[in-house]
Amino acid sequence: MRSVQSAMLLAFSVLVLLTVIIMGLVAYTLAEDSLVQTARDYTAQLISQARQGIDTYIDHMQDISEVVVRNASVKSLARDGSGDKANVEALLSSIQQTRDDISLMLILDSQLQPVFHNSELELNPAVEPARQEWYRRALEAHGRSVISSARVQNIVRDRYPWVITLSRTIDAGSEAVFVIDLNFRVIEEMIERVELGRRGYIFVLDEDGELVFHPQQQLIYGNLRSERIEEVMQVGQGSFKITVNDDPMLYTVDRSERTGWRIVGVNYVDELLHNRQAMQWYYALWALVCFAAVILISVILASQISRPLRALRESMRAVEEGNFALRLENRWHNEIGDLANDFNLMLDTIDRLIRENEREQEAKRISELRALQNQITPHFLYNTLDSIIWMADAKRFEDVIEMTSALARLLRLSIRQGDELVTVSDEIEHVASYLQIQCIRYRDNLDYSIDVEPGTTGHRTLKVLLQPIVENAIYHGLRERDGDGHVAIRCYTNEECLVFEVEDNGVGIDRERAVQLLEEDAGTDEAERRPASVGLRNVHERVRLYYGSDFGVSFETCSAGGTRVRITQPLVGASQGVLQHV
Amino acid sequence: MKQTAQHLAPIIVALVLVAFGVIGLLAMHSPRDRNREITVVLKSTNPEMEFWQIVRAGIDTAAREYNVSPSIVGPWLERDIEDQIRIFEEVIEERPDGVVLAASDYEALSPLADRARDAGIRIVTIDSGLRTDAASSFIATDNVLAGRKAGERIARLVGPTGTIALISHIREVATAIDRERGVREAFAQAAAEGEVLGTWFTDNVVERAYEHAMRLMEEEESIDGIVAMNELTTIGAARAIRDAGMAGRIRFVGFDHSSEEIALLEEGVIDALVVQKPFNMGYLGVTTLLDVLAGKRVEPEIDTGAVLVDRENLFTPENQRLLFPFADNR
Repeated sequence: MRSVQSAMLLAFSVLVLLTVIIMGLVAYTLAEDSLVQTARDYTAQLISQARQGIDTYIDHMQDISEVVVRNASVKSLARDGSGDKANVEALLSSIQQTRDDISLMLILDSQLQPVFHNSELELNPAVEPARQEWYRRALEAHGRSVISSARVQNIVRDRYPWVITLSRTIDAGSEAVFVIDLNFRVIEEMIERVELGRRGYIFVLDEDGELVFHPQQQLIYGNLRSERIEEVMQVGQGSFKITVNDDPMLYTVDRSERTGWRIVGVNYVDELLHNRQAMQWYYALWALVCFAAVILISVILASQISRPLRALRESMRAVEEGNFALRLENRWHNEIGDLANDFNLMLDTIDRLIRENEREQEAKRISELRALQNQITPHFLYNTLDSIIWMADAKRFEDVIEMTSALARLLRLSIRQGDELVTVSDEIEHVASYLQIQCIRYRDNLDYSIDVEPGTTGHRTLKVLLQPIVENAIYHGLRERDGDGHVAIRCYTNEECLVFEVEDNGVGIDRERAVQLLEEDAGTDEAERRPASVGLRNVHERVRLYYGSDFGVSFETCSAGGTRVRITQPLVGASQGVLQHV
Repeated sequence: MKQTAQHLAPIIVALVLVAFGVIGLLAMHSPRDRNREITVVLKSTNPEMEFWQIVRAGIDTAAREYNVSPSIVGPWLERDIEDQIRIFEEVIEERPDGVVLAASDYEALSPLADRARDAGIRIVTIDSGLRTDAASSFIATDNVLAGRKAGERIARLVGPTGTIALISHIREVATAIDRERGVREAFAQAAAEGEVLGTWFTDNVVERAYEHAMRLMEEEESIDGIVAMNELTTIGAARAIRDAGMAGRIRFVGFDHSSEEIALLEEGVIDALVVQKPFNMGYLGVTTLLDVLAGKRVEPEIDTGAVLVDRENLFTPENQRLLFPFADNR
């Protein structure tokens, strides 16, 4: 059987564990999501700034190109190769010197003759400008600006700088081209300034998905590393998450309308959640603390409930074992307290009922006792009066007188009210009177002897004890013999007991019959039908009722025939006689 | 007693749970990547030495990606073998977890490498190997393969019956031997009736290469092409071809890349250059060493590869990055 305490504990633990785990996970997930979202927003902001920075540079180049192509000298140079080359060169030079991010300014007139911003520069003899992509695309664009991807500019002899090239024809339809190179290092630095954690990085794709910039470009070209270019090209703008080798990464893409480039920020999610472990600790520790606290509380709570229950159970067990006087100390002001109160009330009731029952039993016993004593009188009177009638009938008046006076003596002794107990001498006198009456009735057929131990006469005994025995002896022992019946009455003490013996010389009695006589229930209908035995059983029951079941009547068949009836009772002194509890 | 035990049992269970949780968290919290001490010993730390600067760029990229901070040391000049030995000894004293070593000398650094290994330092060699097997991995250009690229190209340029000469830097240097072997093997295969006049050594001096090339063009009428085995011999031989006005007539394949070589390539003096990938050496040197330290199996030899660059593919995005690794015009 599982105790209430452990059942509660188990239930609480499971419930709380589940709650704590679920709540913890939910809270943690929410916190993580919000962290990722914050990081995502922040990255988007950074990427957007980088994109704007690049756009700004491109815008500047655009603005410069506008200034240059609108210049009159430049226009005339472009138109027919005429005009002041020195003037154009001065213009380019002055612009270039104001900005250190411009690595090259060059005008190729329609005969592909160059004008550099610096007169010391010369064309790379190995390069045919007309075959360069930036030249061809400028012609195709008819006056609009064309922006290249990041590239190595090889148009100048002995120089191979990384640049972004803006090229445009000076007049729509003309073959004169203006070229301005933006030092790519400027863009790189701007991108490298953007910190995306320790491992995060930014890369740039051009319109065609070719890498403009990637910090690990060489690794990618060397197939030592791959980049999610396809996914980025599909997304265009926004962000997505990809997991590579159990390492979740967040890609944030921002597309520049100006260049068509995509600026891509790559964050390692683990880094975004750089305090993820601290967070995990925090949540796990709190979950554990909660769990431990709840276990503790439920232990206390469960013992709060189970302790009074246990006390209650122990009390009940004590009551089971018979201690009805026990009362619960009620310290609880709840249902348990109510239960204890009810339990106490129940005990009160049980106690009261037991007392009532005892009182009733006592009263019943006393009334039974009286009834038994009273029962004797009619029997005896019947028998005696029967004798007197019989003697009067026979005109034996002397005998009648003698018998009547004996009867009077007998009645005097037996009607003495109040006391249950009489002295042994009174009782002997009583039975002597009775025997006297019976002797008259049976004339010479019956005689008797009474032998009383001298010290016993002052002791007390129940009244009308011997007479029913003697009566029974006469009826069942002697009357069936032909004359010379003898009844001997002895009274003596034996080991703190007072013993009366009534011995006859009748036919005797067998043991079964004796037991039957004594054990038949008093007051049953059957007993009523056998008046002779009623008296005998009455004596037995009275002695037992009064003194306890250790005492009473016993039978013994004498060796010479006849029956010896022995009444054993405790020695009760003259002053004693209080009714004892059985 | 029994009562007490009943009371204590759930508390004990709770405490045990808490203890398990804490232990679990501690286990989880223990740093997955203990900060590993790595030192890189290069042949040169001179910023003018572009090859080693590119190696450094690769090292930096790997360091950033794997969150390590290697210290990079080395002599100023590549030929300072004694200096590199001293530096390597100092590094061993400091007992790093691992060393990436570009050995200046095949023999001289081997005993030191053995000592480092015995001290529990893991070693990965890049660019140039060691006689000893102390290194867990050797990451370099497979020079035989690189030579084969040059041999195949020169054979195609001079045709199946062409005659070529080889100009190499130093006799009995591993790169020279391997590259020559590659060139000869590939040429013999691709130009079955071709002829290799021989190999001329320059002791890595530009002028000697120039002289060898000049003399070959003057004396050997049958010569169709030349293969030079490293940067300086390439520059020397190319200048000779240009000066002799034989550009396009003497076909020429060189090794490595520098601004001058690229200009000569654009001019048409050089037909093709075999270009190594020093960035990959630096990058793979660090990542391989980290793998070794993490107890992973690594390949004993890793080829970083070589690319044949000619006028056609000089400015492809890949080759631009390879030939011009730095944007800041160095």
